[in-house]
Amino acid sequence: MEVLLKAVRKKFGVVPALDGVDAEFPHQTFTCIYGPPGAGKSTLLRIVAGLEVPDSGEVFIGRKDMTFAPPKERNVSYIAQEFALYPHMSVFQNIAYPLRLRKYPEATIREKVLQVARFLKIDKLLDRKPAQLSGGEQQRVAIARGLVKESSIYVFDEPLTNLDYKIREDMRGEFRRFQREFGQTIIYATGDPVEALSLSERIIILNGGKVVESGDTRQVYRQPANLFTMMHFGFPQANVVPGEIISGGIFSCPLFSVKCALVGIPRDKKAVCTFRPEDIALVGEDFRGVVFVGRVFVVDVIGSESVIYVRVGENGEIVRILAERNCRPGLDENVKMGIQPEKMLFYSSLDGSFLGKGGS
Amino acid sequence: MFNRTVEAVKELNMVIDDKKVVCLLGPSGCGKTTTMRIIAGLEEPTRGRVLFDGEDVTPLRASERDVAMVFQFPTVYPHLSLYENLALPLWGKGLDSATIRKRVELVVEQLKIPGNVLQRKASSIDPGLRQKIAIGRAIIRKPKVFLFDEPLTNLDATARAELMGLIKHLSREVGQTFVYVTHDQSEAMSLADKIAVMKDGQLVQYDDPDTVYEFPESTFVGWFLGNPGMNFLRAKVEEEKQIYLRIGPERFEITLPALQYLLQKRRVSECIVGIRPEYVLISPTREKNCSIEGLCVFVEFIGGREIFHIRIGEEIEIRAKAFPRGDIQEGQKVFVGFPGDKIRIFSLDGIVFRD
Repeated sequence: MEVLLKAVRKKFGVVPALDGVDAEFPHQTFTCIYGPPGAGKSTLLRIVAGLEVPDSGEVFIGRKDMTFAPPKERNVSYIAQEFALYPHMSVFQNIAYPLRLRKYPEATIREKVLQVARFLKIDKLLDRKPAQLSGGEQQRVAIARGLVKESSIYVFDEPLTNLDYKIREDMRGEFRRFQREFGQTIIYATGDPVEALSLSERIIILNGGKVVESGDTRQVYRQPANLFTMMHFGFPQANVVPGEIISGGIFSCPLFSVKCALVGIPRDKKAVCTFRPEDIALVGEDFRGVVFVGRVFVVDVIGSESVIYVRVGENGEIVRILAERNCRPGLDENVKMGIQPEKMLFYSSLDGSFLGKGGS
Repeated sequence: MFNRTVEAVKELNMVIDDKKVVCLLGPSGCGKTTTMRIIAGLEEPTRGRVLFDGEDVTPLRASERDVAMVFQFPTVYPHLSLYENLALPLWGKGLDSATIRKRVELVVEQLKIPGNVLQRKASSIDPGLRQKIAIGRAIIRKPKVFLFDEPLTNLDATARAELMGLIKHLSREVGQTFVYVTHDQSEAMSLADKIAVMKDGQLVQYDDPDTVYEFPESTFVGWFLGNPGMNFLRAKVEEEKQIYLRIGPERFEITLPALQYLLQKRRVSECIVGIRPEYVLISPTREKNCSIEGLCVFVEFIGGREIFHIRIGEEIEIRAKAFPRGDIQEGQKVFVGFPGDKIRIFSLDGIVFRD
């Protein structure tokens, strides 16, 4: 069951929450809506679920115009960030509730509740009451309650945000596998780049109520069409170095110069050079590529990797390098960094549009 | 103990060496904050004592212990200027204003606070700068012990990195004892001389960061550290001419002498094998060092790395972490291997076997 949004607009008060959104959520695909707080993610999800009606534009579900259809006609399961569990019911009964409402037979209810409870690793908590659970466990019960009802479309609004990092890590793989095993269309909003990257097949980048870009997740990650995406969709954050495109299609800044393969003629000289932390490394004398130097500010060891923060240039701008865990340059050590020009992506300072990659 | 039913901290014995940074690390509810508050004098231990340089400070209140604390939410006076906030801890100590000014200037320099913001009110600055001021107020007192309670939790990524660097530099320069509480393993790994891993009110391991990471003493520690944490597989030891570990339908030979010795000496028949995802070898074809057959059921692409979810047999699933590679897709048969020097052996109740 696919979902299509056409020119959807929604205002609350003066500021538009959604400002002309076209979005496609293909059948049986895991699509992420990714954006910062206030981008309009929740509003978009609520419009898909039927909890809000757009001011203008259309919502098609399975090719039928459902713009004004109430939630119960849509066969959409909506799992919100804020949830309320029934305090007097056990976890089992909370999860079973949507099925009891629909008068499912008791044996089926039991089977389905156990299935989702196992998936969310709360099967040992079924007899407890919500007050006896931690915040994270309560959240998982709310998710279970949303999953237990069979729908064609599942809409999740940042379901893992308030959970402990370790649980989020474990749950990431589970979500996607659940989707593949049960073949549903999933629409999942998040502000966490790692979550969006690891879970989704398709991604919609949202900012200020507008779609910045959308497409296959890995392709959007590898070559964003817009500077906003490059800067905000990735972890650790991408590096951005301002400079100019001078004649001969060369990007120049105080740290380095590099030839670019431009896709068109830039309207303005001012441009930025961007590159991801995993594409730059500490290098030695014999490295061939773009090279510049700096001073180590701090090394953040994040499990099996390190993020090395290096101060470069006159203003001490920070460059982030993703390295192996055992790469531990000393504090304040002078280091040399290198990157292949093809890994550098250039964007216009004027409108953030993609100008080209490095290399010839 | 908080009331009869909750034991927040159970029998804790710990020595924090002079001038070292010790991180109390663990999930929410593990007792790390309570422990810090007991060190600070904000909580009284139900039993036991706290000693500073051998002296019993247990009966002393927080204000008498000469400790300085920095919390999750910056403790600054919003209506006072940044300068006044920094100077306040020194007032009423009999110092003349010239000395106070000098100490404030030193702290401002140590924290890299731009001089032109000092006259602004603390309510008007961003959270990162506010937390810097809170740290400044702690440093300026030159206390015996610095206590930090999750100071970076509420900061955005940029401010967090900046303050982490600052704290790292400070801990070197200031030459004092730091006790740092966090649930974030990267903060602990990056800042600590020693990590005290806590779970359910108990100290489960107390070692330098690399030892805790590479040689966890329990499956909990192996799981809690790492991104993602360690894989754990149930295995049976089979001894024929060689020693094998059987994992579901597959088995692999143990060739590392130290490991062979350990398994034989301790007469291990069943155990839990632990190996970190980044150490699991993976290949689309059977190789000498990748001989365990499995099925790739999910590939998590996370930018600089890929995490492969691999099913072995019916029940066992592990994760392997590697640089992005194009040759392994979901649904594909793969072969994995576990290097002998990266395997850790745990008892069935999760405690490491050591020689």
